[in-house]
Amino acid sequence: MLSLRLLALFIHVTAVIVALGGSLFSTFALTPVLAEELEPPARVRVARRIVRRLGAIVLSALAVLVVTGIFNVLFLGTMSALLAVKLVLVALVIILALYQYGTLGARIWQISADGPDPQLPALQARFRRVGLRVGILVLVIVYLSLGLTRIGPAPAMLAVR
Amino acid sequence: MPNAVIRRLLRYLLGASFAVGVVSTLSYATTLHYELRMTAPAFGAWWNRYEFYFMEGAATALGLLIALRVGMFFSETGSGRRAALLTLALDAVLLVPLTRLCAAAGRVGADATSAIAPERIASLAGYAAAKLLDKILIAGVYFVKTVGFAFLFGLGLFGAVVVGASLSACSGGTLKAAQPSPADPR
Repeated sequence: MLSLRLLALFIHVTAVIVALGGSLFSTFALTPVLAEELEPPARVRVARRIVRRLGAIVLSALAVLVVTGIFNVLFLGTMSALLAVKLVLVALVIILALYQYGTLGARIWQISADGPDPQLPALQARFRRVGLRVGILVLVIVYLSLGLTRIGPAPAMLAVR
Repeated sequence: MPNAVIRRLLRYLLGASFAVGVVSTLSYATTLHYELRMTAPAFGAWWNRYEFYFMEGAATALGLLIALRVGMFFSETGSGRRAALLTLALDAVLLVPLTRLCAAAGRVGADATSAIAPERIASLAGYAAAKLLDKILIAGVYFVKTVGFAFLFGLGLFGAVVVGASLSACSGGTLKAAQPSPADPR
């Protein structure tokens, strides 16, 4: 019941939940409520801190995902085309998340230091768009993971030839 | 350190690891060490003993450096630059254990359908050439897979370091000076 393989899988799944859940909560619950309830200066102050903190959570979760994911590959012991596609998508997700938080999030943080700025809405909209793409890609990765672990070997049409 | 200097350093390191990787992979796959043993026995024996580790190490270093370069491209900020330097130092420190991990992941094989590759090569190039090409293909795929896993690990590591660098920048670095008001407790 308690094994290194199960522990790695547990941490892996938990990291997915944290990364995806945090992003979805921020996009669909927190941001709309902030827009309705707070005045622009207060909204900007709260939003910039959320961007920074969410970035820390999501990027840390993605780092944990990679480490536990490599261990899971070792435990799985076979490399199918489906797994290769998943790994490429994981790389894409991390690159997009780096762009979202490392570039867009940092710009939002800097621009909003003195309160609301005309450039801010466009940057925030772009930040949300990239976040949504990351979320969709993570959902695709979760689906592929289910295919890897729940329905046996990869279909013949996807197998490496 | 300016961004241009970091990029130049990365370019040199990338070139070096690529060159070492290609040479050691080809040497391992084509059993070049036998030729070396005949011309320079001591060096040939040393190379024969370590070429495989050079191949794995160069592949891991290449993956980590590509990840660092890609990460730098996508986080063009002050904290990104600090993160790049810190990640480079961490990559150097972690290279040996990461080489073992990424090489082990790279050895995870494809399923049985990939076994038809040697037959296809033999039908195209003949048996003698196919034997050599198949060895180069196997070593090359192993090299590329190790690079891939190291690339993923490097991206994750860079992301984690970006988090640390940006959080330290908020608490005590350049961004603290740009706080909106004292009413924003941190």
